[in-house]
Amino acid sequence: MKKLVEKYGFLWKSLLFVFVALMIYLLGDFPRRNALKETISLLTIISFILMINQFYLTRGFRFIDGKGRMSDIVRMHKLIGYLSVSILLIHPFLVVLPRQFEGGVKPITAFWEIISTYNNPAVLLGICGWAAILTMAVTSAYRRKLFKNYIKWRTFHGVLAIVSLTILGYHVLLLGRHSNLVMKALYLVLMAGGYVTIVRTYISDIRRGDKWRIRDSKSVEDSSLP
Amino acid sequence: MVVEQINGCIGCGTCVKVCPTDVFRLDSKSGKAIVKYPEDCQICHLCRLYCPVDAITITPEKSLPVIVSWG
Repeated sequence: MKKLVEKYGFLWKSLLFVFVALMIYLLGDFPRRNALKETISLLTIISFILMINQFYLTRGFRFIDGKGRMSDIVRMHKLIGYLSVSILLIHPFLVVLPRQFEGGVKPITAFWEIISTYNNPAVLLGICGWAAILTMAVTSAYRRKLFKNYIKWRTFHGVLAIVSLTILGYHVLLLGRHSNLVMKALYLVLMAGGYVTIVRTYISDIRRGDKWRIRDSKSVEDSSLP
Repeated sequence: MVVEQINGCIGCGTCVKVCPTDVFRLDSKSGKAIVKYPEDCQICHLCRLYCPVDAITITPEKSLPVIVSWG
């Protein structure tokens, strides 16, 4: 048990984000609806928080924690990533699902109304974000076929993660049913922290890469000497 | 006020169209629906039923069960 706690200890710390979001949801002054609608809302909030949390389940996490094996962190990163992306991908359909069980507008009509409304940028941002996370999921699933070079893949994935989370974050801030001031602050703080973590990792990579390049070029020069 | 909150409005204007007593307007700045004439609301629930994102919440104290035909 102690070994398990040591091995996956990092996971508990990252689940703290979910706990804080749930507390804001429970204590916030949001109108309560039926169980299906509230479950869908909760699933979406948790998935979005876990998506932000993915920034912390990376190599950058070791700067913060210093514990946990990288292979365990990557395993959790993949598991949580595929789970939360799947939920976020079906989110546009989940939003209209309860309409099936109510009078009034039908789910297909509601869905068409949503994707054809561009009075404010929120819906367009949602569609772009949806496409971005779909790209992220597909490229992750076919990484070995699409990318021969691991460094190129890592950079592509990191940049795409920053772009998609920025788009989705803006969508959530504009449209989120449960995005009150405290929830917005939580999203912004977590996202800012995640960006810093990932950018810091990349900067350290570049610095280290330069050192390697200098060392390699020196060794080449040395070997060319008679 | 009968309409308690409008959360997550996408600004499609469906509530403006379906409201029989013309309670809603689209805000020109945000592009989202606002309750312009709350005193005219007759609690018919049409806005709530036809909102595609279910953004409108009606005060529970003033809500009546909606009768939906099944035929």
